[in-house]
Amino acid sequence: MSFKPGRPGHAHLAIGLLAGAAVVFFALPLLGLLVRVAPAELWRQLAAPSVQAALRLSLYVSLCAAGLSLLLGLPLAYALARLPFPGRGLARALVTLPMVLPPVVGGTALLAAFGRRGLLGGVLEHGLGVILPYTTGAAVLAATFVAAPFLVITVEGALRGLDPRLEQAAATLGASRLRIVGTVVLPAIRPSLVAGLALCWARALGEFGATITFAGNLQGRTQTMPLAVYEALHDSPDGAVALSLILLAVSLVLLAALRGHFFKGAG
Amino acid sequence: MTATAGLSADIAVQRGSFSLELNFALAPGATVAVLGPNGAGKSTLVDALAGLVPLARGEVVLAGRTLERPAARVRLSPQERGLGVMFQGYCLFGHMSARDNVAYGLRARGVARTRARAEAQAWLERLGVGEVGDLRPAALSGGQAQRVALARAMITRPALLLLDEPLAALDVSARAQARRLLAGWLAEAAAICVIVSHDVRDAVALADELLVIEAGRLTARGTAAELRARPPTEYVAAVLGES
Repeated sequence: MSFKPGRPGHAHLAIGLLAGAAVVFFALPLLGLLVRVAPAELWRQLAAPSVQAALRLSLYVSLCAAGLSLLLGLPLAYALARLPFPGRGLARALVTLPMVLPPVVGGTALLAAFGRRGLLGGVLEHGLGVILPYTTGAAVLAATFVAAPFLVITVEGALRGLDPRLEQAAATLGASRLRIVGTVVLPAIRPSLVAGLALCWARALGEFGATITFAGNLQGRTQTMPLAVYEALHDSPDGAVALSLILLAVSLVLLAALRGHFFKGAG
Repeated sequence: MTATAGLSADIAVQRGSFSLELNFALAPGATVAVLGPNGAGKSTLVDALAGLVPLARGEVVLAGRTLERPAARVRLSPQERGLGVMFQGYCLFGHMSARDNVAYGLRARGVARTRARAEAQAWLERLGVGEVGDLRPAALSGGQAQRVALARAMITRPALLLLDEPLAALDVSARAQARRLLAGWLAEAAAICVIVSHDVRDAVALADELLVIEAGRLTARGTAAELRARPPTEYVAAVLGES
């Protein structure tokens, strides 16, 4: 069999058509959001106290979740990448599970752990006087549960790709473990750290299933933007579209800001 | 082992099925080259002296100070040993300027930033690369990176300098000159220098004495002339015959 001239052209045409279809598939819904809503409606929605409360709460919850993910996820990623401990494979599997778990299952699992009748619920309620479900704290935990794995996996990958000789070189130069992490490891993986944080934060901002299951849908306390969109869909579909557009704009603005940071780090 | 001033090393390291076992002492100020084929254990020797892999048995004593003795449960960390190590491929920190790379050891010892940077710049100038202080490692030529790595290892004035393949990353045209310059700088340093090389020309040009490692064992020790006159193994005969 011989190669026929023109075949690669056909292949490229097919790839181009499918890629074009993909672009249309992703762009059309966003376009639909844009044309469905009048600017006046957008401003009216933005001025509504319930929308402002949901927006504030969404930012608060997603940023807290990102911070908590950083606090817990960074040491975890380091341990998974660098410290050989028994059960490391199991630990990695458990941490990755929320990425593939349906969020509503995650929410149910959180109830089973931290609910009033859950594994730790009794200890929390009678020992510390804390009742977690249906509080803003629960919304933060739900968002952290589903979002932190994105940070952990991204950072762990970067740490695995980092030449351990760099850390050894720093050690022979007299740098303490902590100094090595601060001056060699973190700066070297900064682009991945920022990217992982952006992914984690975006996932937390969009979190719906685990939140509504574990934290409920209480205006001003646990009703984040995605929950507000869901509720608005029943009463005023146009309002839901406007709210979606606001959420889209917030995501785009914050991601753009983070990406600017990301490119600066890579340069 | 009674050597008090120099380095005495009685080393046994086990890495999977590979074992490194050798015993040698070096006088203060000595410069030796460790020569051997790939996989003979040269880099493992550097790692063992630097404290990056533990000894199974033996003892390392430098200038009267025991760095490691498993039998007495003594094992100083790489940080505590205070050696100068120039890694194969240099291992410069990519996100720092060349000057901050050189200043790193001083900063780790608590020297203030401005003073550490000034001293680092002085070292770069001494090694003939004063103009690269602000550049990141990725922007350096092979020869410049080599000098930055050497300055970084030497700035803390270590009693023992370990250089793992210091010339291997340089192309042939730069190599002869780099070899000559390196020999000069090492002669000025008051340190004991252990230079690992797989290239016999580098080893002979840089060191007074050669230690030959084959399959994890010390198979020969002596000056190039001595080993050439009476080569104890086929490898020694083959490589010194070429030079």
